[in-house]
Amino acid sequence: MTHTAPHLVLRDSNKAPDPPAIEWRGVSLDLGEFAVRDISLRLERFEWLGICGPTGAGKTLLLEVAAGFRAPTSGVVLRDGRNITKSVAERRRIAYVPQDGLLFPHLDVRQNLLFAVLRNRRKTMTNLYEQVLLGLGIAHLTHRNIQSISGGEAQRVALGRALLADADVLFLDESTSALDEETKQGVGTFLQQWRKEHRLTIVQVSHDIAELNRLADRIASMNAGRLVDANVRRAARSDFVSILHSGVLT
Amino acid sequence: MTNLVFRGSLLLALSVLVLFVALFLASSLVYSGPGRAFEILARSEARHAILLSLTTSSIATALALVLGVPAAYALTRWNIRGRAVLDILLDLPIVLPPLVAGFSLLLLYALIERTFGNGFSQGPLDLRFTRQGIVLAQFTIAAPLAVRVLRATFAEVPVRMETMSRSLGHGEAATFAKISLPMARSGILAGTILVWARSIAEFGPILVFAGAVRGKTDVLPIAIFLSFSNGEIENGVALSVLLIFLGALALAGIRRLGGRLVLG
Repeated sequence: MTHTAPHLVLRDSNKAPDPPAIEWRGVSLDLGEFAVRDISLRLERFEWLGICGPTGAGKTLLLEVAAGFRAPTSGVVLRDGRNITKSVAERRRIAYVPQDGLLFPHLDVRQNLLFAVLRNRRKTMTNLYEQVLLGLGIAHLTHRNIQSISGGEAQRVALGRALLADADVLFLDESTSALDEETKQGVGTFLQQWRKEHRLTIVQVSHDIAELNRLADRIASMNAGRLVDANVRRAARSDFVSILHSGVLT
Repeated sequence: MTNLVFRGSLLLALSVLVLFVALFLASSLVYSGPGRAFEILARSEARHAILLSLTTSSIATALALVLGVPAAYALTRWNIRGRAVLDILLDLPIVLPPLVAGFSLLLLYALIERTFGNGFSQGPLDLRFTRQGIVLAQFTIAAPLAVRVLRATFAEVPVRMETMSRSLGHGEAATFAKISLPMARSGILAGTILVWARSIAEFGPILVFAGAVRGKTDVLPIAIFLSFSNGEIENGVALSVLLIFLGALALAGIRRLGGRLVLG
């Protein structure tokens, strides 16, 4: 199913075009095993961008540079047209769901979910909190310790925590990889609905091409730290999938 | 060397060491028997030494933590130029001969007097040969030890956890309070016990800086020293047994808190 970015429909033609929600401009960072090399990529507002590529392609690094987890050695990251390369992570308003979830082990599931919600906003957030619990199927986990939940449950809690954060850009890094197909589809449907209601911009890194095909407006591909294609056209996606699976890119 | 001979030599070394430590500790425990030890410890002068030790070492530990926790966190997280020099400087009091630490404290006062005149270091600020001086002498060793132990503890808290907290909207201070401190809690508690145990057993700096005055500055180690000096062997032994017991209790507490970082 294709999604049209809402702003493309609603935009007033007299106004200057909105700056991209996120833009990587000539970003490079080499950590030895992983690297991104001179990446330039624009992410329009309310767009859902999928990024695929083999292990070690630099997909995670690309997200971490924009989310404030790592500093690039060269290049800049722009957020709504503003240079955020040196901004602290709390000012970027990008909710990041990393591969390992990074749930806080000393807090229970509920405390993790509400971590980003300020105390004085919690009452007004009750409805959203309930929606997240139901939508992600984690209502039964709220008082459980983080150590006692499964990998798939932890991924959904990490996703819920990011959705409740005060951010309009969401980065997902293999954040549904531990879910079975049925749960993955349910989470995908919930995310699509949540994205529409809350006008989120999403970047999703995944090895699951079928999932990206289903959810993303556009798919970019990376290999060996470089952007291979910023817009794998829908018609060509099946070809790309076969290339990926044939190992040409690995 | 066959496996059997190799294992035999390991076992021999371990046995000799364990036997040696067990025997020298047991010698104090069996010297006059538990009944006599309890009787001595119930006397007012012993109770005074115990209370003074508990109070001063607890205050010194609290002060060491107040400065040690932020200092250790800063040293763990910041890229400070000349870190190696800073490390050596802060570790020095731990490896210095205790008497040298005490003399250095006295010389610090001499330096202050020479620089600012007598007025600055006299009155309430003159801690020499006072109970407050005991705290300062204990703090001299306790604070660097706290920094050393807490640095290892904070290094175990993944930086990514802190960055995640910040990307969820919390600033540096809130992240420290909500993530770093709670995640380092066990290590901080274990380190606190270690620092307290070291403070209560401190002798050299106290002897030099606060003196050995019965009824005034006689914390447990000083009281033991005074007892042995005056030929009151049974008193000294009873107080030694108490310190051994407190040491064992502290080590058990650290182990219970999973003090891998503290004890190795």
